[in-house]
Amino acid sequence: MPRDKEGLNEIFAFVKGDVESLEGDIVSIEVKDSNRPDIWAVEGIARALRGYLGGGRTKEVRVLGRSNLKVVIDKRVKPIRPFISTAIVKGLRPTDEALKSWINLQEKLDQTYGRKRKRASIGFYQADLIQSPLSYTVANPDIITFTPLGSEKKQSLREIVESHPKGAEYGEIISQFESWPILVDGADNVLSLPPVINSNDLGRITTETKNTLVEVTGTNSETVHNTLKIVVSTLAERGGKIYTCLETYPYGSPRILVSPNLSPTRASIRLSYINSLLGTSLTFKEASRFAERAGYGVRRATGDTIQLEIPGYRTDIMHSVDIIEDIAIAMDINELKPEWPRIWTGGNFAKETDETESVAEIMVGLGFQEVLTYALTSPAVVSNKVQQSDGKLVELLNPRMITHTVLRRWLLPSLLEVLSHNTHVDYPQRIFEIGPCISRGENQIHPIQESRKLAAVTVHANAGFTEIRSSFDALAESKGRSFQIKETEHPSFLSGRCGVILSDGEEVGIIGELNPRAIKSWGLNLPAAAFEVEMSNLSLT
Amino acid sequence: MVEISQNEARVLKTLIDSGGKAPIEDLAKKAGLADSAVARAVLNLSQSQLVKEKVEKKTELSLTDEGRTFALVGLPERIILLEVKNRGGRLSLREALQHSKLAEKYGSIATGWISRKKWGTIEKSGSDLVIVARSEAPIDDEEEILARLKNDILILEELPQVLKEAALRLTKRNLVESQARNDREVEITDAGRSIGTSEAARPEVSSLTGDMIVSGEWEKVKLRNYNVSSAVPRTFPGKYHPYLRFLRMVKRKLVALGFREAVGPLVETAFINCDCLYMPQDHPAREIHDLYYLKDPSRASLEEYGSLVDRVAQTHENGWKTGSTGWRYKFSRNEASKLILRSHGTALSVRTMLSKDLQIPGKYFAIARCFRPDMLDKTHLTEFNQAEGIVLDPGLNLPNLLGILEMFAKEVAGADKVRFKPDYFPFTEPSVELQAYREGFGWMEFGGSGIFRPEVTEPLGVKVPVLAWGLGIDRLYMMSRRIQDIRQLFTSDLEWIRDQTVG
Repeated sequence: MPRDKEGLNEIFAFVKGDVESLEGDIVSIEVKDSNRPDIWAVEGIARALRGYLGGGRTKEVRVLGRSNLKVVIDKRVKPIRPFISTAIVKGLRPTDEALKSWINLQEKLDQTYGRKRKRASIGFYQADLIQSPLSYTVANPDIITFTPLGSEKKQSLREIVESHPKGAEYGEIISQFESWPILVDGADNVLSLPPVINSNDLGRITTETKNTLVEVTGTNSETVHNTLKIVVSTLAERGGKIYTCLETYPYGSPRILVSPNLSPTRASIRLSYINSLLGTSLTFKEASRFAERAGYGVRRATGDTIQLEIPGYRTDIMHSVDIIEDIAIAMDINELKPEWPRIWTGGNFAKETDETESVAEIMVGLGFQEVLTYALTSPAVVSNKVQQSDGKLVELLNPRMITHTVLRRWLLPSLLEVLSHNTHVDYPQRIFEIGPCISRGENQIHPIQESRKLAAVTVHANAGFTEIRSSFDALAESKGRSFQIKETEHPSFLSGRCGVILSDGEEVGIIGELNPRAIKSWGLNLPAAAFEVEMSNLSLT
Repeated sequence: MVEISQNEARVLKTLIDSGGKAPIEDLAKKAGLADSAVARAVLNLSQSQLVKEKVEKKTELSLTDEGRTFALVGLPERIILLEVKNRGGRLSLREALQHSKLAEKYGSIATGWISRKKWGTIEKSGSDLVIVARSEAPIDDEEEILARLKNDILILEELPQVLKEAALRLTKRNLVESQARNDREVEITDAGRSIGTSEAARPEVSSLTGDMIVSGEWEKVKLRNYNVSSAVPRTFPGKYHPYLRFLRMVKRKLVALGFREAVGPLVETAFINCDCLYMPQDHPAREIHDLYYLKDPSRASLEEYGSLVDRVAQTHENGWKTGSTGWRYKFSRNEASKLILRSHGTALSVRTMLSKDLQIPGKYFAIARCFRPDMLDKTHLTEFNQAEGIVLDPGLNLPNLLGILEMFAKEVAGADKVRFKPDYFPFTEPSVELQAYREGFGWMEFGGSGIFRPEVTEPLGVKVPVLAWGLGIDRLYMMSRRIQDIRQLFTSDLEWIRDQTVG
């Protein structure tokens, strides 16, 4: 392996990894593939790299035999958390480093693939302390007690959910139910309260643990089984031997399951498809060699088709394109020659861009500085400070900042906010913006109405209606449009110095001297005049 | 009437104020004009006989080195005389020289002048001379010349006759030296005086008006001169916002490469933004930490999409006819109908593929404003822009995708070389990250791309490979303007915006 960051980056590119830091012997990488949990631990990354760098087939991960452990599922878990999948991995005395890696993997799988333990959660136990059969059942949260991981005293299930840190994090997945799922062994010892916490006695593995029981429970059968496959395959990379367990369900089909099932899935893929997508002319032999490097088993090639075996831990393969990408990575995409597509197309700007450009040109010519502001704002900015309160705003369900909670329906408040940050800057200040505005639509089919608007403000000692009106008129004339201005009342503007902009009798904008109350509320101390108009009305259609 | 310029009028006025004549160098100072301007004005005025230029020869007097010494300590005859007086009025020359520490060679000079200036008498006494001082020996003209030359130069011609003669004597004694020079003096003529007087009476105006030009009045008035080198008030031109100017440049480049621009709404349905891009409905990127949802209104009807909703739902559930296994879960139309703020430009690529105007072969792009629920800080914006696009043609393949990325890196980012890394997006497979290298900037991630999954294109009715790409234009802009803080993109700092250069 190379020892420098650049060299390591090239190696980890095979697993879509970015080297984030390199300190001594420790490399931190970010694995970008959020759909490949089999490479979320160092064991899986090593397995994948062995294939790419070693040039040969990767070692098959397989089941060694059956364990004696049986799991009986109680039908009462069905509405709560219906699926469980278990396996025993024998012959391992993990190092501290290995334990750390597995705990990390468990955490990542729980969080993302298991959707914060809702869809699937993982438990590790000392297999030698556990008596068959396991019972996956339910219990009254106030009666059953056990000692949770990291604690020394027995507590009821409810006490655990209420007081243990993991209870606070995951308790809500089960707390709505009357009875809660538990896992109990043949000697009536509680293994865990899935998906919250394991028992401190049985559910804690150490460097002394030779045989480990791995268990996954959850709400999605496929996720539960896939998670187990990924965990045991990871443990197998450290030399663990995988033994199956027998699960008996009172519902679903099949009712009796042997898990994990690590047998590869068969897939056939057309060589012509590979070559057309990759722009290559690979032979069967070449394509097979790259597929093997990527960890696939190659059974045979007939006609245009290659028969492949997808390893059990590759839970991400949905389509031939997934395999083709792996072949491309095995080839090294930098070996492909970039080729500009030889198709002729005429480029052009969107109509909206042409409109924006022509209006911006005129506004700049009139001496206005273009500005850029956020479409997200707050009711204080868009309504209160400009003395306007009518009409409901389009509001976010999950705002992150109190300054960004609603979508603006007009631009002028954003411009005044800009001016309020610049009271120390030389006047005159003349600014404009062309930007999107959002308001509520008229009906269910069109619940939102979006439009682009233009707003302009002038602020200085002598700013007034005449100046802003003459700027607006110059714009309208340059665009070949004519508008009528009719006196109106608007809370943001001065009474008697404000007009509505009409186009063929339709209201399309507003113009006037700003109300001193609005000016003051922004901390401005000079007269200001402004207009705002719909962009769609500035261009002839 | 003689026409004279502003500067000429000013020279005449200065001459009148200075009593009719003045040396040319004084004129420049008094009139507040440059030497060259005065020289030109005087030349024109003398051609019009409004002034006369007189050149006078002058003799400039100054001290020689020896003269400077005696100007400080006194002439040899004065030193010896004082010594004699101090010792009783009668003293031998040898003794006088000895006491005064005057050099031997000045003995005869001193006695010669004492006798010629009648300051005393010289008697012979053996081999020595004896000096007998007179009681009266006032400061004489030569001594006055020396005293005045200590601090100044003198003009011989300007001295009274007696001093003139004294100065000439000193010149002969090598204590004073003379140098000839030509003095230029300007004198106003009667004609000049009358014109200058009327010019001075003309009104001075500061601004030239259109009326003045039309009527010719501007020739009669006196336009006030401006100090053209002094500072004036600053003007702030209207300009494009620097970041928007950059985005315009990117658009022009993409159009030049044959791309058509697409636009679309900021408020989208989860259906367009996520479901059509084959993002499973419980995908972490659809959680409230990654996507802004609307509170009210919160949903839109999906009616306008017709059977597309069924095709997308089936693709998620079982792959539909795409050859995929699908995500294998129960698709929720309710979830799909949620209103959100567009979180990536790829949503616009979906709209482009849905459009009845879609052309194949085709190249499309959009600069899309996107939203993510992030707190604003140095590296995060809650609103930002993405440049995204697609290329559609039956014959497209992965090398074509790399070709497009390479072209962008060179054309848009000015990169010297590129390299590619495998990447991951839920909606493309294969997926490729573009890294661009630019001298002085090093390697930077400049884009993400891929070939749309069949699970994306086939439900939309697109049956050809679609290359999809996105460029990291915000980072490119920050790099080119040396901006460290991403909030600067939406800055409200008018001073900074005004200070940005254009181009």
